Amino acid sequence: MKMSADPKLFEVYLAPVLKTAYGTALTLSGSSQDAETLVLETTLRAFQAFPALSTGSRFKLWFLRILIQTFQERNRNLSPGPDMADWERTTDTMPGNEGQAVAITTGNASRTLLRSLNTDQLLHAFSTMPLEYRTICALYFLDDLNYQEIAEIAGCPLETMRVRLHRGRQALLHTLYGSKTGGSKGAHSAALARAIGTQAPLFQSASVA
Amino acid sequence: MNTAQPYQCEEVRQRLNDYLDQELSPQEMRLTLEHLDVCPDCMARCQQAYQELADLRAAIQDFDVPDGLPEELSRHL
Repeated sequence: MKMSADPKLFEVYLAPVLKTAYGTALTLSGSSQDAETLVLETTLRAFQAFPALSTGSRFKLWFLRILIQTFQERNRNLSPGPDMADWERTTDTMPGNEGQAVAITTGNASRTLLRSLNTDQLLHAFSTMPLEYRTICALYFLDDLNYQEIAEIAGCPLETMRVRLHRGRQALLHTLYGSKTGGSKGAHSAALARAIGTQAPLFQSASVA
Repeated sequence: MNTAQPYQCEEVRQRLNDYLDQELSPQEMRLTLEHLDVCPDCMARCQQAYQELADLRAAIQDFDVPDGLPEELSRHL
């Protein structure tokens, strides 16, 4: 059975997805104005396609997939964020890639530091990652999606998504922890700064628990 | 009868990300939990990593939908 082209019905489905959609758009685009535009464009596209959606389909996954595709189409000729190969080479030596999930803070440091971050600091941290990593990490942190769902929305194989998620969130933690605590440039900091073309120190050497 | 060998620290560390995301197979989950029950060092690492992800998730989920956006979307439908 297919959906009807009823705006009110569409809005009922959209309401619980809107926060995740806007947050994802914000981390991808980096500005609230661009994020609102992206969400509006996605909404219009999704509404046009809504009558073809089966009633048993997952609206959230479908809508977020349209959002990702819309962003990719609008930015096809741009390369937002660092080059993926350079960034991956730089983060290869970072503790906690792949499966290890090495904690980089001790005690209550993470709670104190991370919960005091403002939106600009968070968006800056996301912007230091290649777009593919940014997408996956945004979907992971903004909603309660499992690996399969994130891979489906991001349009990449499950194992690729898994590797990028683990690497991406370790890199985010390193970037954010360093941005709050300052400190001297470590090997990771300088190499990552070169990779994304900035002079600013991004993080200090990890303090492994 | 399940004869899987107990996990050592390195095996648990390699699976920690998937454990935190509840993406391990039932057997891997069982073996990981059994190791965490007897290894305070791995348990501490796991708890700290879990806390970092939880705190980061809380910070990121503070993004608010701008006032007026739902109405703006509604007007265009």
